[in-house]
Amino acid sequence: MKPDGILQRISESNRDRPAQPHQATVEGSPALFYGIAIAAGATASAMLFTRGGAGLLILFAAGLAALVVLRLWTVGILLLVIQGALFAGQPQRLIDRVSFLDLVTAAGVMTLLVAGSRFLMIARELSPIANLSEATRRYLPRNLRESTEHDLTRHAADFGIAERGTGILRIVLAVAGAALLLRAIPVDPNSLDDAWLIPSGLRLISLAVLLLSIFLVTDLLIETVTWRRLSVREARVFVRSVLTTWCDRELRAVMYQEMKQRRNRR
Amino acid sequence: MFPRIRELIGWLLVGGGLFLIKMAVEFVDDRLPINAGVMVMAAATLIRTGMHLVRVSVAAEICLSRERSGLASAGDDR
Repeated sequence: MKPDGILQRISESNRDRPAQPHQATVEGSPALFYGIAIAAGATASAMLFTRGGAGLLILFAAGLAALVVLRLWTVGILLLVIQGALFAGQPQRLIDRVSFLDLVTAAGVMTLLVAGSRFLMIARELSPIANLSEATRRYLPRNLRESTEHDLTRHAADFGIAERGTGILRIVLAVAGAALLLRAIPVDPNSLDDAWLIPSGLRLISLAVLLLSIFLVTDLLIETVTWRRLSVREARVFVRSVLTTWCDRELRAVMYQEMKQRRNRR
Repeated sequence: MFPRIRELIGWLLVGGGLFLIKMAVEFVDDRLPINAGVMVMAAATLIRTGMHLVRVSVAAEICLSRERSGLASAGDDR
């Protein structure tokens, strides 16, 4: 079945659109810094769920680093890593490692987040990871791909002193706040043995569960209030979009197939 | 009529999700965060699904109300 009407016009206009020119970044040493930061952050964050020794630590570090590079397979990699921990982990008492490990965990998570958020900007400078990132970039949505190629490009050669100072201050404050928050959450030693987790991991999961619950309820309330203010035109567009998803899946399949062919031609 | 039924089903799903969130908070209170995590994931799925049904129904109601008012004004013109 071929698309017709508005779908046909959209397809033709997309086909005629010229390809975006390639822009190279001018990041040099920051790329190396962020590469090291990703590795260090992944290793430190891996300690969060590790109770089975160095081999498992390396497994987690590799998994978390892969999370940064292969952005679209997050859930699969997370499940694989957690399954690996459940199979390979050995139950042991680590209640005494609370104090220093909290700080390391908070620092690791923050470093990983900062490095990951900047990773797209300097991905081309990191070889051979750049090739892997370029391969996964093809599967990103079009608007996201364009934004990563143009909007996130940094043209300055390096960082200024004030920028470094404020950046370090923000990271230190965030790490200290996160460490204090983690220390304040109580944990049950029996739960640690049941879940095969270290105290920091259990604290983080408790905090995440509470925050996610608050987010879900708040999002529900806001959406309930705001959704009824839709204009008629917006409501029509939404209803048509949903009905196309529910009833006309073949049209969506045709469009996806055409997008895939265009992507392969590039 | 049909959008109303769909909206009711959506709200029932949202209610089920909120009940699961209550259970998750109780699990956290009992220091069982793993069980709480599973509950929150299930609750998120239920709430998202229910809210999607509610959104579709509300949007359909807005479209239908416009059509009804348009028909009524056309009837007045005649």
